[in-house]
Amino acid sequence: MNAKNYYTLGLIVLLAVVFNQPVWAQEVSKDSVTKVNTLSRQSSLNRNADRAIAYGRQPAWKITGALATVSGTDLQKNFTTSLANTLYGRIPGLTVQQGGGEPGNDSPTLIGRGINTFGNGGRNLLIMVDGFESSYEQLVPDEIESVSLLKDASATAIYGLRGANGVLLVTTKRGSDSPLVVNFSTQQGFHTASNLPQFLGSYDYARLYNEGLANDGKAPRYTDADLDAYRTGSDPYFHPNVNWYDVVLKKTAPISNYNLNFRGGNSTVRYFVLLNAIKSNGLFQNVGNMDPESVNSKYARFNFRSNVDMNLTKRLSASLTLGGSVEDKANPAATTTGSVFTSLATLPPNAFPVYNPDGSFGGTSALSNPLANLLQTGSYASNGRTLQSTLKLTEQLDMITPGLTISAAVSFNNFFRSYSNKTKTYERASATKTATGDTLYSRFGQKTSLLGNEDNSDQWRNVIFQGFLNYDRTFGKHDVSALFMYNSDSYTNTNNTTTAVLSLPYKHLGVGGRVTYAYAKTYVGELSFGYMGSENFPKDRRYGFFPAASVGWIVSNEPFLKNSSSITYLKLRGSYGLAGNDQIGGNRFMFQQLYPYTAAYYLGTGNTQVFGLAEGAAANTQLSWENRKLPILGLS
Amino acid sequence: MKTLFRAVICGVLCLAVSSCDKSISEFLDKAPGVDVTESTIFSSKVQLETFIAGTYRIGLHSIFTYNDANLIPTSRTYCINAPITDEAECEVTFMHPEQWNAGNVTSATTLVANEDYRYFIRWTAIRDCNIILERLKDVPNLDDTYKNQVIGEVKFIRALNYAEMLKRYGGVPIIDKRFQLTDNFQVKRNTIEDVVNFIVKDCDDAVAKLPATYTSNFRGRITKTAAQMLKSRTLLYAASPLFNTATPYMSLGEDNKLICYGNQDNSRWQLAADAAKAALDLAPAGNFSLITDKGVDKNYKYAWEQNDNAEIVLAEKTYPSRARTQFPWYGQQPVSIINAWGGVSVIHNFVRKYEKKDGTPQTWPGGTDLMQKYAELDPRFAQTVGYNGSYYDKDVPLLETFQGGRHAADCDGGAWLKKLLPDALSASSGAVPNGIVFRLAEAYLNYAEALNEAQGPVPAAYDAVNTIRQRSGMPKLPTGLTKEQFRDRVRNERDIELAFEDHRLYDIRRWKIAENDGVMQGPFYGLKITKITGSTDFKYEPYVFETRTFLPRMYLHPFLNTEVYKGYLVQNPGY
Repeated sequence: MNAKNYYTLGLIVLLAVVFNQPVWAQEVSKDSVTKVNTLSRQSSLNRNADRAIAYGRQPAWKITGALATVSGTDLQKNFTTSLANTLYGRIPGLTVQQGGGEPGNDSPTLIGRGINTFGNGGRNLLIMVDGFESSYEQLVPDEIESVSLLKDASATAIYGLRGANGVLLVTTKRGSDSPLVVNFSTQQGFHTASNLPQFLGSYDYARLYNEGLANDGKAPRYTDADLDAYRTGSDPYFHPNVNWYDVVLKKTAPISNYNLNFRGGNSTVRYFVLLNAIKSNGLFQNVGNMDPESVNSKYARFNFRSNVDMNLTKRLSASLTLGGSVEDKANPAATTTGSVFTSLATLPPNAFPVYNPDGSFGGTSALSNPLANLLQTGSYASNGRTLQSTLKLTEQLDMITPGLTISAAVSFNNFFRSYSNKTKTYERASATKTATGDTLYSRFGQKTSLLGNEDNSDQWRNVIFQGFLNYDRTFGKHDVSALFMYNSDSYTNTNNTTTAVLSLPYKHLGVGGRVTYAYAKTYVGELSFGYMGSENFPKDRRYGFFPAASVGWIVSNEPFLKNSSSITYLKLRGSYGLAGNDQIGGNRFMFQQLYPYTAAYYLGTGNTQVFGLAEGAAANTQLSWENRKLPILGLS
Repeated sequence: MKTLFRAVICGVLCLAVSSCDKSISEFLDKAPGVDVTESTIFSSKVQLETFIAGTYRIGLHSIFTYNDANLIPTSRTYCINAPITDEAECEVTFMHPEQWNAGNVTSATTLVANEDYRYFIRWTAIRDCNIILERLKDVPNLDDTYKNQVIGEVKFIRALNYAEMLKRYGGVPIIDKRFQLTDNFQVKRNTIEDVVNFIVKDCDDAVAKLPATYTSNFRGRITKTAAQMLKSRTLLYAASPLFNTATPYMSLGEDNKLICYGNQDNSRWQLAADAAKAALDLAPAGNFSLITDKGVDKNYKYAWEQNDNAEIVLAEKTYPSRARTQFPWYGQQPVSIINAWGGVSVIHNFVRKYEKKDGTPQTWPGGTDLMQKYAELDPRFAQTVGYNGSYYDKDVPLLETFQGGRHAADCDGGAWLKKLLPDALSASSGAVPNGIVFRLAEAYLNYAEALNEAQGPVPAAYDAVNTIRQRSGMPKLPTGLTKEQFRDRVRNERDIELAFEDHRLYDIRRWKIAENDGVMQGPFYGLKITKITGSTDFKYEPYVFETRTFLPRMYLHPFLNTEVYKGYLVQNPGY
C-alpha cells in the first residue's frame, strides 16, 4: 500500500568509465570505446541489428510478430535493486505493478499486454533468460543486452501451451570480437518518500475533536488546560504531540551499486565477465541500532557472470553461460511495512508519548507503539542464492548444405533461500498522573527474550535440454531461414514438504519450428508451430499443437517510397495463431481420481478406530489447457 | 553424408533425453507418489476396507448432529430435531428448530440451516456405494462370502440414504450408477412408488447377502437384521397416510405421484407388518434382543445409554469418546451446566403423554404436588427427562429447574433433556455417543402399528406393544380397544419409547397430525415450578411459553431453490 510513498531519486553519479585496456591493439583503443558506446546507444533503434526472438535472433525488419524490446543500457537509467522494477514504462504492452517499496520486498507483478486468459489459474508471463526458464529479478542492468516482450501468437506459438500470456526474453551480454574493454562504474543514490501526508498536531486534533462533540451536542473531551498544554507543548508526557512519521521514518536512505565488467575476445574466444555489488537500505528511523532485537530493512546482493563463446574447431563452437547471485535481505520480523504505515496513518498525535518518563515505551491496551514495533520485535534475515548455467554446442553442417547448423544445449538453474527469524515481544505502558501528582503506569504486553528459528524457505531447480536445427541462407533476393527445435524441461520445487505431490517435478516436452521467407527485404512470410505436452494433463490429451502464421510488408522498401524523406520506415504486418496457457490452477493431476480424505470410523465393542478414506473431487479426464486464438494487425 | 547427419541428430536427441532413463513417451508420466488413487483402493481387500470405513462414516446417518469439518459442511444444525416437535424446545434462538417452530422453512434458507445438513453428503454416500458396486469385481482374491457382505453393506447404506430422503422430500432422483463427466446430471425425481421399491429391493438384496452377526471386533457393521429393519421402516412410511393416499397433502397436479402413491391401498400396511415381523424373527440369530434383565426402571436407560447393547441393531460409530465440550454433546446441555449453546428443554406437551404407572393418564391441573406427580409416572419418564430434583451427572447430582434454581436459566419447559446424555459424561470425562440407527424396540412398535392398520387390534399387535410396555414395568394395554383406540395407544407408546431418537418429526408428518393442537402448531406448554418453603415438594403451573406455526407445505422439506432453478427438479408444493 505504501509503494507510492517511495521512489528512487535517480541521483546517478556515473563515476567514470575508469579505464579501458585494449589487450591486442593499443592503437584502436579510443575508437573501440566510441564504437561500443555508439552501438549500444543505437541498438534499440537500429533496424538491421538482430533482435532476440523465440529461440533465436532476427533482424528487426524481418520480424513479423508483435514484439517490443528494450536494451540493457536503457534499463541502467532506473536505479533499483530488482531488475523487474527497471522495466517500468520501458516496454510497450508490459504492465509492471509494484506492491511495495521496502528493500527486498519490492517484486512487481508483470503482465504482458493485459489479462489474456480466463480462469483461476495463473496468468504469468513466461520468462526466459538466454532461452531457458530461470530467475531474472536478481540480474543487474549492466549484464543485460536486451529484454524483449513477445506478445502475439506468431511470436509465442513455438512455446506451445505456455505462450498465451506472452513471453519475456531476457538476454545477457556476451563477448565480442574486439579488444578487451574494462568497465568500472558506481552509482550512488538515495530513496526518499515522494509524498507523505501532513497531519495536524495535538492542539488542532483536540480542538477539532471538541468541535465535533459540540456539533453532536456533547460535552467537550479536552479542557482548556489540555488544549493549552497541547498548544505550548509544556507537558510532553501527559499531553504529547507526536509526529509519528518523523519518529519512525528517515528523510532519506542510501542505495549504491558497484559494477566491474570485462568484455572482449577474438575470433576464437569471446567473453563477458561481470562482478556487481548493490546495496539498499530502508527508510525506518533508528532501527537497526539495537541489533539483534531489530533491524532496518536492508538488501544487498552480489552478482557474477561469465559468458564465454569459443570456436572449438572450424565447425564446432561452444557457448558457456554462467550467472549467479547471492543476496542478503533483512526486514523487521513481527511487523510488515504495510502495518507500520497503517499505524502511522491512524495514530492520533496525542495518544501517547514515544517514551514514558521512566523510559518505557508509550502505548495503550488497544494501540501499540510503532517505533517499539520496529525496535523491539526482532528481525527476519534471509539469504538467497541463484545459479544460471548453460552449455550450448553448435556444429555447422556446411557439408550438407551451407547455412545449416545443429545445436544442443543443457541448462541447470537453481534457487535457494534460507532464513533466520528472531522474534520477541515488548512491554508498553500507559502513564497517567494521579491527583496527588504521582505517575501511575498500566503496562500491556509482555517483554520476552528473542526466540529464533531458521530453515530454508524456498528452493527450486530446473533442468532443461534443447536441440536445434537452424538454417539461414540468402539466395539473391530470397532470404530463407528455418528452425526446428526440441525442448524438455523439468522444474522441481522441493520447498513444499507438506504435500508430497507438489514436490513432483513440473515437466514439459515438445518440439517447435519456424520457417521465415523474405523477398527483397520487402515481403516477409513466416510459419511457426509448437507441439508441446505437460505432465499435468491426462495421457491421451497431453500434447497440443499450436500453429501460427504471419506476414509482413515493408512498404518503405518499395520503389515508390524508397526515396521518401517523410517516411523512412513503414512496415505493415499481420498474424494469426494459437497459443496455450497450462497454468489452469487447481490441484495437480486433476485427471486422476484420488482418495485423499481420511474418514476414520470406529468398530467393535471396544470402539476401535479403523482407518478410512474418502473420495476426493471428481477426476476430470478431459482436463486441458486454455487456448487463445489471436489475430493481430500491426504497423511499424 | 546422410549417415553423419543421422548420427548427429541422434547424438543431440540422446543428449536431450539422457536426463531420464525412461523413453520420451514416459517423460511426462506422473512419478510414483503417495497419492491414493482409485486403482489403489480397489487393489486389495485391505485397501477396500479403508474405503468401506470411509463409506460408513459418510453414509450412516445419525440421530446426533455433528460438526464434521472435512466431510459435512459447518452448519447451524448443532441441535437435535426434537425441538421441532412437541417433544422439546431449543433454547438457542438461531438454531434450526426455532425456524421450524416459526414456520420459517423456505426453499431459500439453506437446507443445512434447516435440519437436513446431510443433503449433499448423502449424494456422496450414494456415489461411494455405486463406486464399490461397480469396482468390487476388480479386487483380487476376495472370497464370495466377503463379496456378498460388501454388496449387502453398500446396498444397505444406499437404501438408508434413500430412506432418509424419502421421509424428507418424498420421491427423489434414483441414481444407481456412478456418474461420469459425460453423464447428464439433471436426473428428474422418481415417484414415491419407485423410490420405495428401490429401497425395498436393495434391502432384500442386503438381507440375502449380509451375515446375521459379526465377531465383537466388527460390532457396528451392518447385519441382516439391520437391513430388514430398514425395510420395515420404509414400508411403514410407505403405508402411512402421508404417502398412501389418492390425494396428497397439497396438490402437485400431474406430479402428484412424486409426493404420494396416487391411491390408498390398505395392503401396504400388511407388507409393513410382514417386514416388521421378519425383522423380529431375524433378531435372535443376530443376538439382538430387548434389554429386560436390568430391572424395569433401568432397562430402558440401559438400552439408549450403553454402547453396543443387545438392543442396538445398528449404531453410527463415527467417534471415540467425546468430551462434553465437543459435538454432539456441546449443543445439548443447559447453559447453566456448560456455558455452551443453550440446551434442549423438555416441554410439558411431551411430559403429559406419560401414563401413570397403572396405565391411566396423568392429570396436570396445577398444584403443589409436582414431585408426587412425577413419581407416579411411567418409569421411562425418569429415564428420559432431567426433571427438577433428578440426577443429571456426577457434577450435577441434583437438577434445580424451579424459579431461581441453579438450572432454571432458559428452561422454558421446566425440565431438561437427559436421554442421549450418558451418566459417564461430565466435566472431567467424555463418553462415546450411542448413535442409534436401529433399536430393536422400533420393530415391535412398527409391527403393532402396521398390524393394527392392516387387520385391526389382533392379539399379535397387542403382544408386540405389551412386550415394550412390560419390560419397563407398565401394564398391558386394556383388551377390547377399537382399531382407533389401539392406534392412539400405539402412537403414544411410540412417542414415549422412541422419544428423542429422531422419530417424532417424521412420525408426525406421516400420520398427518402436525396441525393438531400442540403437535406442531398452537400453544406450547412448559411448567413454572416454584419452591414451597418448608416443603420438599414443589408448586407447578402449566403455562404457554410460545405459540408455534405449521404450514401445510412443511409436510415435506423444500429442495434448495438454487437446485430447482436449474430446471430439472420439481419443487415440493407450497415452496
